Amino acid sequence: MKRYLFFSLALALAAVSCDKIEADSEGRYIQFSGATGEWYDGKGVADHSQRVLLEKYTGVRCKNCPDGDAVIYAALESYGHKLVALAIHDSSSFTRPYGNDARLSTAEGEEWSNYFGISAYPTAMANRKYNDGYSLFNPAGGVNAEVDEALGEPTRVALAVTSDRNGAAYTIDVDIEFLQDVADPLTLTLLLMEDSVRATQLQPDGSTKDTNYIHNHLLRDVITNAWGADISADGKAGTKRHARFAYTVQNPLWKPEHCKVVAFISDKNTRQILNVAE
Amino acid sequence: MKPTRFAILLLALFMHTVAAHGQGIGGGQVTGNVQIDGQLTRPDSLIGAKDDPERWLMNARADILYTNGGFNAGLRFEAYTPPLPGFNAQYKGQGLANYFVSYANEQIEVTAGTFYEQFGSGMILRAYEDRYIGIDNALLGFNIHARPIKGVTLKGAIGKQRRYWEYGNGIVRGIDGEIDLNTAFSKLEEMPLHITMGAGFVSRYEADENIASSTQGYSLKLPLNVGAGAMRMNLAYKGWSLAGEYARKGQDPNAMNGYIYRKGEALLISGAYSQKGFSASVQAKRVDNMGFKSSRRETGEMLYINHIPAITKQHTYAFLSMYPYATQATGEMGLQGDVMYKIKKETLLGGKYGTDLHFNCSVITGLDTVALGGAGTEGYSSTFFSTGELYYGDMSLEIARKLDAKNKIACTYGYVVFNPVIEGHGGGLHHNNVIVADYSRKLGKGKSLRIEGEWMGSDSHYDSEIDDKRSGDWIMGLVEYNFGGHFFLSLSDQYCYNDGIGNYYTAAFGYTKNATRLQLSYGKQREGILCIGGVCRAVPATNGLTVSLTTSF
Repeated sequence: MKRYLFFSLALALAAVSCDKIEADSEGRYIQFSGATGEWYDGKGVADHSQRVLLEKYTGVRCKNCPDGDAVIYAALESYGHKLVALAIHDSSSFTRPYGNDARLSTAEGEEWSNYFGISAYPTAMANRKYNDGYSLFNPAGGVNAEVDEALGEPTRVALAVTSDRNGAAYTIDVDIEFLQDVADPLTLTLLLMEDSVRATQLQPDGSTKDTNYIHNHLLRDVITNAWGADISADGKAGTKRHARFAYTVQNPLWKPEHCKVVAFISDKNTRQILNVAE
Repeated sequence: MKPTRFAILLLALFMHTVAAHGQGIGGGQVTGNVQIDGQLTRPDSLIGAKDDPERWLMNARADILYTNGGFNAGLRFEAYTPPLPGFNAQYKGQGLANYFVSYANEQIEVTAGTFYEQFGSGMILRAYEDRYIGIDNALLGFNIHARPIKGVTLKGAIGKQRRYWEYGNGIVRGIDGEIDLNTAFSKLEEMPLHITMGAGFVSRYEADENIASSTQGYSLKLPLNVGAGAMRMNLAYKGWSLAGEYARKGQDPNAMNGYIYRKGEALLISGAYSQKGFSASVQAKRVDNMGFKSSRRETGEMLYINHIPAITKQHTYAFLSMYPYATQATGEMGLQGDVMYKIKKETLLGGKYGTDLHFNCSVITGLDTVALGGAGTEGYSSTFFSTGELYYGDMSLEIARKLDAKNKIACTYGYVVFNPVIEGHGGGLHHNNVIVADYSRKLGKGKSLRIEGEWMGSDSHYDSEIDDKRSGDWIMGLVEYNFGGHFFLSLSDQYCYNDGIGNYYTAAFGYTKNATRLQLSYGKQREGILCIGGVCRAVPATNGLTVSLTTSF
């Protein structure tokens, strides 16, 4: 009996008393422990894809906006992970909610709308393309040409973002890798968008109000400031940087399980977007 | 380490015992020993002896053991006021260092308090103390030895390790079993082949902490529980014996290995043959990242959970032991051969009393490694049978012969090649040739005379940047005279006559009676390294009077 007791104890001790640490993809047994919001040397980005942020300024009282949504849904199906859509409600009269619906507008959306001169709805931008003015277009008429043009640009900076949610609290890790020299200062913008938000939407016939309209990729909050946080990097090709951010969902009505974190890198001077990831 | 109520209780018990009953209490026995080593130091800029402001340095200890049937209780009082040169300054202080109670019967022995323990050859657990090295990694906790059936021994241990006057952060847990097949199975009792097998497992728990990696902004993912296991077997057949032990250790990033995650392993094999007038043995080992401490940040001599046995000869002559080998638990490979042969007496070569020959050689190298990264990575890879740079090699041949009833002479030639990288500093390999002549003569009526002469020729040169005062060519003489049955007087001098520094003379006087020994010596001590069993400490240069008193009761 004593022998069995001993071997049982030995097995139990062996089983619980030796931890195994798994290495990351680069064979390192490390974890980020730097200060949030600070930039550190990073491990690089595995996916060097160029991706496009398709921003759509929209409103619940905009009758053509559902048509724009349909085109964007089709584009998302077509382009897959290379396209990230974002629905922005500014404070124009088109965004005034029906009935008791909550307003979907954001302060940052309004700030962007004013900066980019949004005056018609829906209006879209692909990576905030700038050519003697920002290239604004009606998504209801198609988005592929603009998306293709943006995707045709070489990837200057690769970007990856991961988020770990604990209840309403997010820990967001961002890795960037310069694939080309970039002389201009860059900023990183982090935002929270929510899918499956039910709110009344005016339909293309101009009179029907769909009270069960589903709003997807809805801008809820900008985690950094509206124009992003400065990226501390020398901009030389090969430079790899990492930063961690902490964020808590601001509104209890937003459903964290429907929320996604989106990151994009933009030129601090021209606001043009170099890459995006979700 | 503050005395606990437990220790105070024990102390009170002993004081009562000694005061009231002398040698016994309730039929029990009190035994003990006292050792006091003191040194009155003087600065000496030539040899590098520093000026100790306290002047009088002392290591002292008193062990007291009470035994009554299966019950034992003991304690040790230690005082370092301050510690002798070469001992870690963190020993400074005095108090109860060890205390325990234990009970043993035929089946089980349980110890509570501080205890020492070893599993197998110690490659996964060896809690021990060596007062001359300044190591005491006793465990404070519980220790159990059980013998459930004949031939089977089971051990369990749990506790924290002593670190000078404190205890380390880590908790050490271990379990070990050993079976003597010839004893356990009656059918094997008469078998000439004797087989013993054993296995053990040790685990260390230490809380998480933030240790930066070599990548800015990242810290290490630390294993909180680090395990090490070992298997062993001993075979003995008539004059032959073969023993082997293999140990593995899990991921253990620590300060010794530069916080790498490579798993550790060690293999120790030894074979021997002996018969009357002849014995031979060979040992081989390979150690790879097996430094195992109960605190991952510890770098000094303390808190070692395990011990990697040395397979180099423990030389006793001064110049042969001037460059001792320190076991490299982080990685080494070694081989040792040893042959002893007695040339028969009444032969041309053996003479009237026979002649003893003792040949020993060993070689230790590093591992052949390929670097994979720094802290927070696997560290390196290595090929099992491929050797790295030479760390140490030695060869010695001793010829000893009793000339007649009164006179005996021993001559030794030794060769040592030593890589200073194992002591953490640069410089090329040192190659030393050593010749020793040792003559002793019995003078009758408790008198004897011993004369020893040594010479060492070395290709090393003193370099003030490295400041290794062992460099150069040396000669030494020693005369030791024992008289009156209790007294001895010795004079010795070590002198570096070429490419080095120093003239180290010492005069010593001693008195021994029964279990008490008093020794006084005055002179200069050369700086160097003292190693016992591959574990070493630096010995700084000193100049002054040394007093040593030991007694037991």
